[in-house]
Amino acid sequence: MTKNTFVSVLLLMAVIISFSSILDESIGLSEQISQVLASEGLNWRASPNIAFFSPYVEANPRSVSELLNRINGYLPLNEEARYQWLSEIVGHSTSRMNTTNDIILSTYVVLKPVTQTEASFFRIEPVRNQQYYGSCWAFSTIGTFESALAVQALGLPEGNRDNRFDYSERWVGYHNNNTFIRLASNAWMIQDEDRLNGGNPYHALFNSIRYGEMEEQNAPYAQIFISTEEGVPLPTSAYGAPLRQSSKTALIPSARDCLHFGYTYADYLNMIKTALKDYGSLSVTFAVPGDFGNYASGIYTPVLPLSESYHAVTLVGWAAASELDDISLNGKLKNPPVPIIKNPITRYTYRDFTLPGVPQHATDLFWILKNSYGYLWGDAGYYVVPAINAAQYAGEAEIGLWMIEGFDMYVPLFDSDEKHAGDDLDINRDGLVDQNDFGDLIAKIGSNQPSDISACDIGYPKDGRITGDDASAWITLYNVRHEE
Amino acid sequence: MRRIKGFLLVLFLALFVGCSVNPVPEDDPVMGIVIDDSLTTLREGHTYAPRSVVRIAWKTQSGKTLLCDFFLYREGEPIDTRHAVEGVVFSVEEEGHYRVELTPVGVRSAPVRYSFSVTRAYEELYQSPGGSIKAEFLDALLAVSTLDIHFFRYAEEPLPGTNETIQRRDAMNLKDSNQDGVYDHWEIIPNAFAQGVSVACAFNTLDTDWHLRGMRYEETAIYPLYFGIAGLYQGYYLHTTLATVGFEIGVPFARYLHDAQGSINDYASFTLRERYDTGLKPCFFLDLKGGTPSREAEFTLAISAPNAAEFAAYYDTRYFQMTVAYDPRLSLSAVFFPNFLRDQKELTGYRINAEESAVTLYRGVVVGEDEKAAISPDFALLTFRVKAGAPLEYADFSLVYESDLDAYANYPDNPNPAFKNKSNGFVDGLIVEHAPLRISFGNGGGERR
Repeated sequence: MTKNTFVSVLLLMAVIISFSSILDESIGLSEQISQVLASEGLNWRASPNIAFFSPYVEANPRSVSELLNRINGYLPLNEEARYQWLSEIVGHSTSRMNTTNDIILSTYVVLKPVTQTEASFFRIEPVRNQQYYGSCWAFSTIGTFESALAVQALGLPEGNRDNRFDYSERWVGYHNNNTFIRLASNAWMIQDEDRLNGGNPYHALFNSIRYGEMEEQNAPYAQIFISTEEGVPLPTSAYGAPLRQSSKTALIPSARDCLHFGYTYADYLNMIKTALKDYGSLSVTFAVPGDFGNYASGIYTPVLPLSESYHAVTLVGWAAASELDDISLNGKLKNPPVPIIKNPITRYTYRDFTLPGVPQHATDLFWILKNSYGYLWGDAGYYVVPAINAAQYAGEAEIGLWMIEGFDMYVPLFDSDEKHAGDDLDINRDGLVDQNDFGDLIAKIGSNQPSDISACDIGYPKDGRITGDDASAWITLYNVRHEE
Repeated sequence: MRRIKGFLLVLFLALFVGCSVNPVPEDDPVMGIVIDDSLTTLREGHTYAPRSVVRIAWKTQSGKTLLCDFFLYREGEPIDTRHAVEGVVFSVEEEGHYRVELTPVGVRSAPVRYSFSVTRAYEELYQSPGGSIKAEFLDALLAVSTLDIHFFRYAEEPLPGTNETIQRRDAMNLKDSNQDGVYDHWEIIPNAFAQGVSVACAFNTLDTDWHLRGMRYEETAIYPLYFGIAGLYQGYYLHTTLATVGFEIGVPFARYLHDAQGSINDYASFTLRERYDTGLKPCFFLDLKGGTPSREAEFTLAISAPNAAEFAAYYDTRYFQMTVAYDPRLSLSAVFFPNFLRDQKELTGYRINAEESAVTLYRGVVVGEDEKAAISPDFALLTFRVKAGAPLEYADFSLVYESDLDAYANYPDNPNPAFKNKSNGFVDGLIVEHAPLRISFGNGGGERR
């Protein structure tokens, strides 16, 4: 770290504790961040984001970080230091409640990576505003749900571009789960709790399958947009309202896990890109740095340490470095639109201020993300971060927890009869579709033979494996084709 | 006279026809039934909660009154019939598949049919929070040094000669039969005030000062919940076990908390709820068949699920998958799938993973006639034999649960249980007992660990 940068960061820390109003603090923060950005040559712009922070002044948070800790309400599955338990209760008992983790896990599938050659691909989808709740996890869940529904059910590669779908984050919060019960059972049991503050898309997307999502008009978030209440009752319009269910959820494991499972760096990136392009925008997570609220545009890399909070957002696309000066995310607010960065680059180098030693990294790939702070934050509600590089993926360099690759990513899957139009149930190719075909499919489960996979991989999505997912697809299609 | 007879005959026939058919006006030539949406809450294919009141009304195409016979079926069996009515309000009490059939009276017209379902899962859509665990956190507990807790059960019984009931409050006294410090059974006394039991409020263990913060009530246990206020585990939570008995699902209970200083005097009612009642859990579990096994002979292990088939039917379950892991010193010599689901044609199969000593079981439901064999509460029967030369005193079995994706590579298929409905969507609510079963050879049967 240079001397100038060191001094700037110290000043920045002093700024955080010296202002009385969050607006004053934000103004001071953005000035100090800007100095660090200039001295580091970083390509993002900081702003006081007055329009974003102003509505929160009356809630009287003591600091910007306190506010961000409140609204960034993602609860990590395995890192809930605030809720550590010493429990003599061991899970796996029949004294269960609504759902146990064995069933939740069975709804997740891992996608087969397919090589993606586009230099960039992204969707501009509606930016919502979570307001004063720690409900980012619900907005991230609905963001991916709406996008995936548009891509998979309607065949719209552009996703939920024209606000075609608007589902209720309030409904998602109504079926949040009780954190204490989950943790006391070693993450085995979940029981519903009506709570918007703090949650996780892992469970919320399971509810997309077992309950389904409700349209916004039937449980409007607007009716509760500013409140400190928990357990907000549903409006009467919610009772009996139609629910749209997903079929299962695709999971992209964290970079660390993918490496452990044997995926190459290219596989990992292609898995994310395949999910994005073919299935919809993804629910992703990261630990929030102290300067995140002051992002205005450009390539965000933190210059402050991590706060105590985690945030869930929606990954809508990717871009090669050379494309960033050609892509605009703010066309709905600015005329003419302003590109992500002004001058072309082919590679980007930055230092990670959240890690000990402030290591330097370089990359030529970037993620485009949609936040849920409304259109008046960031680049019209969006922001851009660097993707991890090959050295980071290989474990030769550390991954800062502010990077989305440190966590699992999710996108719902919507199966339908139409997606199986080309699937042949005559597994043994004897000219008859009968129970022998089911038996033959079961016998080939786990086979690596390309001919077997070609005949038996009929589940949605096709994952290049033969599993029970294909057997259940066979049963469903048999019944549909024999007019159950 | 012949003309008069003819006239009378025509008049008689006209009167007969006029009296015997529905009063449909002659300007309504098409006799179809039109459901009156403004008065009808019944929807084709919809799901309702138990104890829902449903209404259906109908008319002719020109909006006139039309009398119909009304038939209500549950699981194919008639449960309600109304004759010559203009509309019906009825309630559905139990879970199941229902069908309504309307037949116009005296009019030749095709009957109208409605199919719908009643499930307790639907009820859960609008009942957040809650479930089969009641957890409460009271900051006021942090200030007390003593605490007594009393439990009560709501009960009622018929008042003879009336259609009324006598309501009462039963005392539920916790008893510790083996004096091990953990209460293990209830003593229930009608119309009495329950004896209180003392709950420790503060203690030190694990180099930490703990203080009572809340309680957790379950079907099979009561747990006080402590908060670490100082020491090594400050900020952590600790559970202890007050009792190994709990509260039945669906029954109203109450608890009363008070301390010696009178700073807490708190009553609260609670009812644990699930999609099934206590005793009807749709649970898959391992069960040794035929008594103590011998090392020299084959023995049979069942995956038993006495309540699962009915529950699965309510939720249109079409696919079941689960994996059983067994001791590697055993060989699996046979797998048999009994006829598990009533009135359903089932296809079955299995895959043995010899390396991991596990077998994955598959069962699908397809259109077609049910098997002729009698219905069994067993999902599958697995026959094992001890491998030659294996000095085996006991063997462990389990229905597999892998919480880590990392472990999936050890199996040819996803190891966790999966249940799917007719849309290939996931069915929630079936339970799989993953606790291992240990079977001893020669000195006793199976024991759940």
